[in-house]
Amino acid sequence: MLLFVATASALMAQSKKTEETSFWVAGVCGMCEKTIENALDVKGVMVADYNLDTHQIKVIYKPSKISIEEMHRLLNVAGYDTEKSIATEEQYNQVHRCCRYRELKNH
Amino acid sequence: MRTIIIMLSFALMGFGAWTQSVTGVVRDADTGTPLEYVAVFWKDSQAGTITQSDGRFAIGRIPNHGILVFQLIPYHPMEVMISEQSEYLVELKINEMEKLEIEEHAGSQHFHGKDPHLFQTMTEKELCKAACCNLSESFETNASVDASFTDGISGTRQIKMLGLDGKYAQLMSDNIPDLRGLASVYGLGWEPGPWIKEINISKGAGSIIPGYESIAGQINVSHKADEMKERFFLNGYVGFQGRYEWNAVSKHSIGERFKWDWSTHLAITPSKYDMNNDNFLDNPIGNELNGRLHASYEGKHGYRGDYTFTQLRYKTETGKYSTLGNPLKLHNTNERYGIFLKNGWILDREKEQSIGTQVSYTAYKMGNTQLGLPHNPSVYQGEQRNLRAVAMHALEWTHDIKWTNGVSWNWDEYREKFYQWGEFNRTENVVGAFSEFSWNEEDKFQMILGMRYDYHNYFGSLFTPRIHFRYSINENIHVKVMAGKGRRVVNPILDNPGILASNRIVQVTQYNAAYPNGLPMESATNLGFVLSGNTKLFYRDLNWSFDVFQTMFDQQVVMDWDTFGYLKMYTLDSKNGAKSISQTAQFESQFSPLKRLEVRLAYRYVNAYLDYASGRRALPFVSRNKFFTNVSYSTKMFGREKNRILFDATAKWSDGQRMPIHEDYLYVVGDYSPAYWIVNAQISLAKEEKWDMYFGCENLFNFQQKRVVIYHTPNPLSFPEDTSPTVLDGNFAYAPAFGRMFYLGYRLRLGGNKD
Repeated sequence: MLLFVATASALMAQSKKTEETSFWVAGVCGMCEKTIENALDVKGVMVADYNLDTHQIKVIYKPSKISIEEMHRLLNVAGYDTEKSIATEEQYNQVHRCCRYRELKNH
Repeated sequence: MRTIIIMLSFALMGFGAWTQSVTGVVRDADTGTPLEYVAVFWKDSQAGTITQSDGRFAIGRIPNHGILVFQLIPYHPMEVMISEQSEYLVELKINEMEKLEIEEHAGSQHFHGKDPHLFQTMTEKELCKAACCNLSESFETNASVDASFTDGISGTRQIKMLGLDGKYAQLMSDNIPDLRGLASVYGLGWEPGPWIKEINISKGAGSIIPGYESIAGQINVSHKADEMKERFFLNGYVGFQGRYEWNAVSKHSIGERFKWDWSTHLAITPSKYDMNNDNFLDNPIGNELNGRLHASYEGKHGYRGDYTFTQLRYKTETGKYSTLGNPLKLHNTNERYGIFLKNGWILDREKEQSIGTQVSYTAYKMGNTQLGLPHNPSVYQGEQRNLRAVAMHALEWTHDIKWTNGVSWNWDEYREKFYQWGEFNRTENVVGAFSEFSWNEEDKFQMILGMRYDYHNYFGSLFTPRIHFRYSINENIHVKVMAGKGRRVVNPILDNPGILASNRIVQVTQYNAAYPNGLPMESATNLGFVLSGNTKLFYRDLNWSFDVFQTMFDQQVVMDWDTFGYLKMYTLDSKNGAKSISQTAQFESQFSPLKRLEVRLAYRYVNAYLDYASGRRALPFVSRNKFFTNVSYSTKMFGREKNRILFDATAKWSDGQRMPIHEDYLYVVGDYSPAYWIVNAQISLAKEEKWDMYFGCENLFNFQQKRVVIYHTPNPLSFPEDTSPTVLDGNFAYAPAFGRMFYLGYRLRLGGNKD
């Protein structure tokens, strides 16, 4: 336990280089959540945690390594719309059938 | 088809002129509350924004785009034609379909900080971290439940909880007590791992509703077939030492309300292995065929029924097969079937009032023969028939107060025959009533007070109270305190399957004619304290738990293995201050130091001792200190198919265990066994929710117990006629007899998603 506290406080000092943000991303199901989190599983992102209920993704990242714009782009590439930018038709078409958030299963 | 509905759009301000931006408010059509995070974007463009907490948005006009799309899950998306007007009110309607798609997200193994009864849940994902061929092997990655071998011959695994044998834990299958009585040790080997959806573990006495039989804890297994996402599941497993297993689970539905599923398991172990060269097989050869048929019906007026039929045939053969000396073969046959019927009616949806019934019938037949001993061929035969019926009523007075009352009837018929004792039978008849009251102030505390009164045809009135209390210091730290009583009737032979792997003389040294087999009922009090919480470490969750438990027997049948050649059974002399106590303290934590890397660390201290007739000694085969670590790493998803490679490793260190007292000059282990490490590792390649392949190794560093069986034959020169062993005793197993073992398997999931 003490060891954890010690490492935790050591990390606190380091964590100044990181920033936390959250933003809106479209997503409808558990598979979307996995794809979205996986899209931000890149260098510079420490934590990417998507919440299906609020459609918010919480990101802890190092601004020196990745920009917020880049994250939005990566999510678009994975086929997902974000609050800042919308995926192209081509990018959107690669999402899985069950994840087609734009149609919202109205068929 | 996109639905285009324009609910309302009007100009709030009469500008009338072309302005640079479009502004407005988005709200819920039904409740009128402003909606935050609604995506607002020009159709066929990439320009967009989101609404603020007051539902307001502002978006700049772009040339050649005249339609704004409003999107928020779970609402229907809406497209609005934008004219010259600049202020809009948009109302979104809930898409009812969308609400159904809620998936629970939790780790592969998690603590229940808030639930006063439950301690931990192991999910299917957790079970995929190791071979987990059956329930007794499923605890390889769990720090609270240990699996060890009952003896060095039969290859039977038994579990231990809180320093006590698995017989003191109550096993349940879909919340119905199962694998009781004669099946309480062997039964764990019959529940195929790939059928399991999750395992719920309660430490301490647990809930009173399933009965009084839990002393160390409750283990509930729920089956995946009932709520499987895929239509068909197939698993194949090959152990390189000659073990082949197949599992298939299939789900079907007839109409909206009737669903049925079946599960089958086939295991064949044809190859004889003796990796520690003691002339005895390390694992039995044999075959197992196991099936489960389940159906459920959901009626219109709040009725739900679950009907299950299970069947098992399991034959094993083990013993001494070497050509040197005389063969000694042990055959074991098991046949069992069971019918489980559950019915539930919701009487009043407003008040959450419901009635439930459970009826189950199981019949189990076990036979054990030893070839090569003078008492050929039958050593033991046992039959158990059980009928159980429960009716209960649950009422949720307010959201915080819940009250469950019920009555139960349990009938057990045992017919046993042991070569040293002859026939012995008993029929138990227990009627009881129970009541469980729960008061829950969600964020602060919860108290569950449970009690039951049973009348037992042999043991008379039995009152069993249990109390569980949870207090949340804050959102992240929870304290649980619990106390409860538990009791069980002893099955002198099958509680100790090691007897069947020995020629020890089994004696009841204190026979009380009033009780079946001359043995009283065991009863114990369990006290527990659990502190658990979660915090952040390395930006990610760190879950931890610290628990202390004490189990004190006020009545116990002491199984005394400490006279070589004998197993003596007698009553714990608690009237004269004799004690049987097991104390455990455990610390466990799980955290994620790097992305996709999960580490679990646990340490447990056990102090379990008993006042035997010949003095106070530690319980045999209990490690005082135990250290456990599990590390799992997953790569990033790669390829279009979204594959992952997962790595898992578990290392366990067991301190020395007290060995039963023996006076055998050939047997090299002293009073205490040596401490040892066991390391298991597995690599798997998985495509999310479709298929996975796994390759693993058990006992990577090849730790083996060399001499597990004490076996002597008379000198063939002096007694050429007598071929039976003078001493046969497999009850000194403290570690696996087999060495490093590799395995390979696959899991296939078909028809995963609904469309």
